[in-house]
Order: sequence, then C-alpha cells, then structure tokens
Amino acid sequence: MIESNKVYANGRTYEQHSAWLASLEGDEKLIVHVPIGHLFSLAVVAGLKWALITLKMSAEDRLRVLDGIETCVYGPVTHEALAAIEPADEGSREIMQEINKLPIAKRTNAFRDGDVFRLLSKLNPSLLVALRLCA
Amino acid sequence: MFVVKPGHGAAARAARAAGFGTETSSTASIATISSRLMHNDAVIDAMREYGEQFLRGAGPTALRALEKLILTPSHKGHERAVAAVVDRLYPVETVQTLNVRHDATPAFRATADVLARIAEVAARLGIDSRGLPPLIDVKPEKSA
Repeated sequence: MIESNKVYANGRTYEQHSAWLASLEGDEKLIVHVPIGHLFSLAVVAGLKWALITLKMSAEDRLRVLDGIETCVYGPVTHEALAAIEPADEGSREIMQEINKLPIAKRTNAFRDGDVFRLLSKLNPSLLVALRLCA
Repeated sequence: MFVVKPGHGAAARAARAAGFGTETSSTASIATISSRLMHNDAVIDAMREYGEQFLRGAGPTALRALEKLILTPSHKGHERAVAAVVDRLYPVETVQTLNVRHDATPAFRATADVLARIAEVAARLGIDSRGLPPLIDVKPEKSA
C-alpha cells in the first residue's frame, strides 16, 4: 500500500508525483513517458555523430559507427528521428563521458533519476526534435 | 519405356503396355495419359531407378563387346576401343598448381562498395558523407 506522506519518486509523495505527471505537457510529457533506453540511444547517437564529423577513422570504423547508429532504430525510434539529431556539442559530450564512467546498469538510470535528457536537450535542441519524431 | 519400341509414340506404347486406358481408348486418349505419366514424379523416379539398375547390369555385356572390338583389328571402332582401354590403364598424368592467396590483413579495404555503403547509411541517418573527414588509409604492418 502506498503511504500518502512517504517519498514516492524524486522527493515527491505519490499524490504529488501523480499530480506532476498529470500536469506535464508537450516535450516534458514525452521525456517522461518515452522509455529511458530510447532517450539514452538518442543521446548516444548525438555523440557518435560528433565522432563521425570530427575524428579521422578508417572506412571499417566509419561503417561500424554508422551501423551502430542504425541499431538504435528500434520501436518508436525511426530513421527520421535519428536523421534529425545534430552532433553533440562539447558540453553534451562531457556529460555523456561522465555518464559512461558509471556501471552499465546505472547509465540509463541517470536519464530517469537525474533528468539528464532534459539537460542534454537544452544543449542540443535537436534531441527534442528527434524525440517528437519518435512519438 | 525400356522394353517398348523406341521413338515416336514410345510413351503411349509404354502406357498401353502398363495397362493404362482401355481396349477402346483412342490414340489421342492414350497420348494424353502417357504425357501425364511422363511428367509424374513417381514415374520419373521409377524410370531413373530402373535406368540405374539397367546400366549397372549392362556392365558385363558392355565389357564383352569391348573385348570383341579389341580382338577385331578390322573393325572400324577397334582403335577407339584400344585407346579407351589404354587411357584407363595408363591415364595421362597432369600436374596442376593452384595458388590461393587469402588476404586476411586487419586493414579493411576501402573498396567502392564499402564507400557506397557508408554514403548510403550516412544519408539515411541525415549525415552528409561528403562533409566527413578523410578516411585513414590503414596499412598492415610487417611483423618483426
């Protein structure tokens, strides 16, 4: 049973959390309701695009990176959504580098508990464009 | 098919001999029946099976005929028969040298196909492949 005075999620009680979810609209609602794995994929794709346009690599590596990006096309994530993503900027890359230092299991959780996607989308608004194309 | 007179109408004769049709069946009816039979998988398999048996069983007869040819110098096929036997007894030896070169270097050849695929995938993902940095030309290193 859920107790009304206990913290349920992100410092909010169950009632507060329910009210907060009900108040969400537009992009905020999308960020909360799209599975965190897909949010993580979109952020990773931005980082990989940065690598593609910045780093010199062999044909094999380039094809491998492109194929890796294509593996993110799954469920609601479409080619159109991935095509809309702009390469990550320096700030986004630093955030993702810090997240990638975490154990694998905790990396995606950062997108739920730490509101990382909202932060990344402020640095790289194309992530929100891609998210809208996912829905 | 193996016992009736060969040539035009052999299949129809074989069908009639096998009991298909009736005594009053017309030639056209038997021809239709035989045509269907000649395209029937079971019949085709049976003919192949019988043919293989026939060939194996005909071996001694063929060898006797060959022997007769060899022993008859006046026969026009004598020379060919002798040559056939000699070829099988002392086959001409040939030496074939086959060089297979397998390139398994770690370097991935930037072939036109690979570059085309890179451009194709990049276009799908909204990346202009013409704006990408130049590719590194990877060369395999000689081991010390």
